[in-house]
Amino acid sequence: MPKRRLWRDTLVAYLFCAPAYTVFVLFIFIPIIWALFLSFYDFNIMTFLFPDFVGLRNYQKLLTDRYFWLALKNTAVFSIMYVPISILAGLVFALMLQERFPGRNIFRLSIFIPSVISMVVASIVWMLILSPGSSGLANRLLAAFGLESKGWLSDSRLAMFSIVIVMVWKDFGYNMLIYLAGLQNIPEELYQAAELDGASKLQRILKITLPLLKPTTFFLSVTTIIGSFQIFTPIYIMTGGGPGYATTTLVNYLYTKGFQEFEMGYATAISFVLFVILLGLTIVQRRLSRDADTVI
Amino acid sequence: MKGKLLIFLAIVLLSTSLCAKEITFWFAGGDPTLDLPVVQRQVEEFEKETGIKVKLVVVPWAEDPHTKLQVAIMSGKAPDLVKLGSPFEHVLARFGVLEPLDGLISEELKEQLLPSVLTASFYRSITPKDMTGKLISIPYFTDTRAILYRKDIFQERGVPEPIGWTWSEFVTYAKQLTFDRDGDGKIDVYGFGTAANYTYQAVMYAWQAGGELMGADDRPAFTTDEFNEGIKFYADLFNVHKVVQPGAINVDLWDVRRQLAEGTIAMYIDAGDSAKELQKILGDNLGVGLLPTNEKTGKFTSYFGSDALVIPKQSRNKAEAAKLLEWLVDKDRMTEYCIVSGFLPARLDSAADPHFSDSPVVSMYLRQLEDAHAWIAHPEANFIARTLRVEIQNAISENSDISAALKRAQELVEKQLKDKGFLK
Repeated sequence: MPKRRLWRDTLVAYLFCAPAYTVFVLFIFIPIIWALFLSFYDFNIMTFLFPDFVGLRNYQKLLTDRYFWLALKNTAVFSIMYVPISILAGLVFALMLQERFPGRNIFRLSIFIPSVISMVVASIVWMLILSPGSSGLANRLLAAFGLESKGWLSDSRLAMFSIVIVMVWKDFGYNMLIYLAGLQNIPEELYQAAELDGASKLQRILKITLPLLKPTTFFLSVTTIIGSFQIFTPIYIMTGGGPGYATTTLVNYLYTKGFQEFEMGYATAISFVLFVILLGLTIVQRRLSRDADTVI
Repeated sequence: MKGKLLIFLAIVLLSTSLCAKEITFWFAGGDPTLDLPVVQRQVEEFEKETGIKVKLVVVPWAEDPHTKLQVAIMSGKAPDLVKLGSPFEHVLARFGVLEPLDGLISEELKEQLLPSVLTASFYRSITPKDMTGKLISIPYFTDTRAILYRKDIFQERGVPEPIGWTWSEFVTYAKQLTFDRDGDGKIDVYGFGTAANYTYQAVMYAWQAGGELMGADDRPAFTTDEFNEGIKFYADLFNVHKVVQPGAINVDLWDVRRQLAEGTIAMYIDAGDSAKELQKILGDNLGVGLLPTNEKTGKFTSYFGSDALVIPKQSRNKAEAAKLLEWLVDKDRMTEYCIVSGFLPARLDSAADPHFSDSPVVSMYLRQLEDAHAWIAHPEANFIARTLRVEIQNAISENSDISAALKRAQELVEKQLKDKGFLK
């Protein structure tokens, strides 16, 4: 290929990519670098134009801030519970709803609907369901079976679990949809061949479906983990991070520090730590799933 | 001649239009079906009376007016007058963006404001030095907390109205009001409703016991015996006396209000606007009483909050803004606003109006206001309140040592205040 034409083709390719790169650079890359820069300053909204340079003090403060460590622990606990349950639930329902039976589309729709409902609306509805005492639907159900009512959102041992339930309900329909798309990419011939070889249903799932769904699982695990570390709205609305600090996650904590206690520089440092954690987790996952070279 | 007359008229019109100043007034909160029409009308009357145009901007609480105000100040577009939720003015004063009102407001107005409420309008912190001791806001209204109770449940259990109760009587009656009505072995009514995620719900007892949130040296005072005694009394209602409704450790106060309306709790502590809402549901069955009295101190202290009016330093129309401020907190206008909104007037002469003094509900709130305490008037108020709340909630939740929790809160707050330059 003549050099001049190669140059022209390359330029055209870059021009096609330019809009996406412009958006990425303006709204993602520059803010990340800007956040890193700001995390070395002490400022709030009103002193934004005249921030005080404090060097690494915000990061030093993080090391001794017990509430930051509690928030980090809570975020990890939420992620450990939420990620596997929501992915597994998505997979199980995708496998069930892949089969042909009457009303299949209605089931698919009803499971997917929560993921398009506003998180605020869903949180308020669940707050009413999980209301304390005998006023909430969940406790009335328990009472109908002769069981003691629970402090779903007020018991520090239960509150985070309740948030996990809400988030799994909200998100597993989306995971199911992605898995359904992944299942449709698996050639039917593989199942037919396995059936001829006498493979059972379970063996077909374990030996064909799951390995071929690996790229989908990788995609979902990356996006779900990132999402789980960014959880904010349901906690802000349903528990306010309480009782005590039982449900305060990193994003809730940085919101409190930045917007309620006017420590924007410190909040930015927390957000940068969150960014580094997510980057690290994504790199680890990428390494672990090297053979997952196709992502839907 | 005609030509000269026309020129003269044109000059008059031009000069009038140039002189007619426009000021911007930000109003945080408000209900479009309740108090906002009153504010709107009062502002229109001000425009007619003074010729000063007012651009009224209502920012609902849901839209976070305090953050919006900070952004406006940062971008050099601060309004001329702002009604905000106290003690946020202390945060603004800490950054030197508020105009001290000492010289802008008449002495007559200052004399008419309830002294205890006005005290919270003075900036006390040592940073920045030029603001210390300055008057930074004027209370627009105030509101205290009293006991709201169901008369039918009190009668059913033979409990007298909650006026002048001592702490021990409060516990005795709360126990008496906690009962299993249908005999199925489960508690149907809890004697006392509360929400421990509102710091003041616990701190009121510390005040009653003689404690203070902040000491005279501007250090937190959570570790004093009096403060400990008060918070322990509150915690014991949960874990020792077991008179508090399930879920009280982390619940919205509107949920507690609903529980009183449903009759699953017999009493709780809340503000006058809640009393107004509950009256619509319970009618005369709603009673209002005073907080219990600590036997040693004789105090029955409650918490009072207020919304306040401030003038940002950036305002180019400070004199006009001050005029509007005085207009809005005039006796008749404050009285009218408080009648409609259900809040309490911050003026002595307004409070003496028969509408308030003759109403059994409002008069009880006014009685409670005689022994009421303002919230922390400090730029770090949010941090202080959060730290204290979290430690108290944890201690109640885990049934652990209250004094250890308060000691931890004290250390954390002291460290923060030192880091921020408020303590040496």
